[in-house]
Amino acid sequence: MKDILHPSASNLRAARGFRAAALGVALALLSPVALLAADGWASQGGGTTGGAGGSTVTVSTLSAFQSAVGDNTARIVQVSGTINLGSSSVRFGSNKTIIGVGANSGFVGDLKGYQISNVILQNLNFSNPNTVGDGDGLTLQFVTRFVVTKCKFTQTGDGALDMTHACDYGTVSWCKFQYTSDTGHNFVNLIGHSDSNASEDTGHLRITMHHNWYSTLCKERMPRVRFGRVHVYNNYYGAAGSNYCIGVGNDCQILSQNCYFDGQSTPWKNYSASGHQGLIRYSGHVYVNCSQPTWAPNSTVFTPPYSYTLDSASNVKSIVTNATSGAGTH
Amino acid sequence: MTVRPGLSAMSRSSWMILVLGGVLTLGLALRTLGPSVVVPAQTPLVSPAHGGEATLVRAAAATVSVVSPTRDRPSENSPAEGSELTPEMRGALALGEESGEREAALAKALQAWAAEDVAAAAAWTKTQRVLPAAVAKAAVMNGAAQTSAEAATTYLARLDGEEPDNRLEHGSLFIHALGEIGEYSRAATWAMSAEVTEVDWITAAFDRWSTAQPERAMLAALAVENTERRRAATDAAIGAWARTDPIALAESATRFPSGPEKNLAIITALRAWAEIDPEKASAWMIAHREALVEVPNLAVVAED
Repeated sequence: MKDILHPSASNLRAARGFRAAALGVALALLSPVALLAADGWASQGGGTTGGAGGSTVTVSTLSAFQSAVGDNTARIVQVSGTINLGSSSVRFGSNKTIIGVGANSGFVGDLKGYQISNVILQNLNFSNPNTVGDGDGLTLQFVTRFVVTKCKFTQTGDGALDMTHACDYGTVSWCKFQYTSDTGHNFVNLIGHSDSNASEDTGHLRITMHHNWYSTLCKERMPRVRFGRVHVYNNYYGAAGSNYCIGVGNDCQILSQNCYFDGQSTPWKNYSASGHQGLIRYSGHVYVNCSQPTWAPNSTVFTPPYSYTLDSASNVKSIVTNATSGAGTH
Repeated sequence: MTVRPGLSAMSRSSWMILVLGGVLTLGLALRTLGPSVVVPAQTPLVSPAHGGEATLVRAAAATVSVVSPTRDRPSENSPAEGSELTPEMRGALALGEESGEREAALAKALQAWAAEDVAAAAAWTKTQRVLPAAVAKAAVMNGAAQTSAEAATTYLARLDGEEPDNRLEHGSLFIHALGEIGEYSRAATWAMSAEVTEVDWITAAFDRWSTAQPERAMLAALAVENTERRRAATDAAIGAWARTDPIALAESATRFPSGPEKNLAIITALRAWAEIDPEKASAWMIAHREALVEVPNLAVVAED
């Protein structure tokens, strides 16, 4: 009786586990697509729901894909197999969840979100080895309320995932970034593209990046930030030979917490011009065979307006690189 | 602490854009789940963290501080009970965490202990609760390597046996440790020949080798037969060389045979050089403009 009236922590966990499992089964029966709840900055500004509530369509060709994502109607678009996007950027509309089926679905080329809102991209593989379109795997410009999660980016010519031109309220989580060769431009995540773009970017570029795996031959921009308010936590920096990880650019604020820096030469680097010093706050990181940079004071930066869970930095490598549940797994 | 901003991006870009413009006019074709802490929104709280320790998380307006007796790691109770700690270890453990020096002092003392007695130091890491596990393993691996490469190999086997899921991590620690004792070639050979190798290991091994001995590392990388592994090795060797001596890399790269390695080496060297001295890098580009005609994507040099 006492356990019922005053359940122990373990009993509570068990009860919650059972409830979560039961709900999971029910949801799986109701829908073939596991819809996620947006976290981080993507939970703000009205939240990000993607195509929730819309119809579900499965596509496997470029023409079918463009037809499914070209409008702004809420829709869940399941991508089956690899779609070659051709020689220029392919755009998609607002209110979409674009989700890969299985482990081998995604795009070759440049997928681009432009002046849209409320989109979720999940379980997708991106590559753009021939640098078509904007040269990225995924280009986001003027995009608000977006989630990119459980995606894998391999060998993209420009950025892997660049978020510029006043993008806002975004979360990039559980993604793996890697390259198969060094092109001299293995620059992963650009947030804010120009020091002279303050009028457009100031007050925007609020983005959360957590549980991402920066892997083989990632060289720079993990991310590189101008103007934004960027929350970086629980990322695993395992890119041996990188030039730097986090770039602190003009007038930005970066909150970095509980990341695992594994043999990185420069965990964060200053890219601020005189009079426009960006700020970084750092806590709880683990540095293995590398050390905390000394150039930056531990500054006061923004407070995230959302709840989040911090994993122990010491465990981040094993969590993020887990072969079945880690970053980039589908 | 004074922030010392690096070279203004505008300044560098201006130089490089100017030079690139000149190069263009000259006819160059530019082708272009463990312990965790829940942080609520805007709310101070005391939350029980996994393992029973109390973790104070205070998220105040405009300031976030995460304060705990051990930050994000298991708490210290009675460190190294029954262990025969070295005086250095005892001294490091006696430091207050708030000093900010304990972790570094402990890692240094643990490494020294491992250099004397790998088994004892390794055993201590399994019971200790003051250092992040990854930091402790790195210290013991580095200490073991100070004894001999064989001792490091033995410790690697022990770690893989105890934690087979973390072999990626252990291999990285091993390569770093061999690098610390100058066994660069051995590390590279191990990375290449491991039964189930990881590209990250190859990258790490050649990055470290090239940092210390760039020309030797480059030659070794170019000699790798497997195409994918050779690419990883050469990419890493070029990247490290550019960080340590971009001018030497630029000069050497002009003598490389035509191909992707030469192009990458020139671009990477010029980017690194332009960060520290855009004027001289620009002058070098102009002086070598004929040799640069065939280098694609040279415009990337103007980016930060």
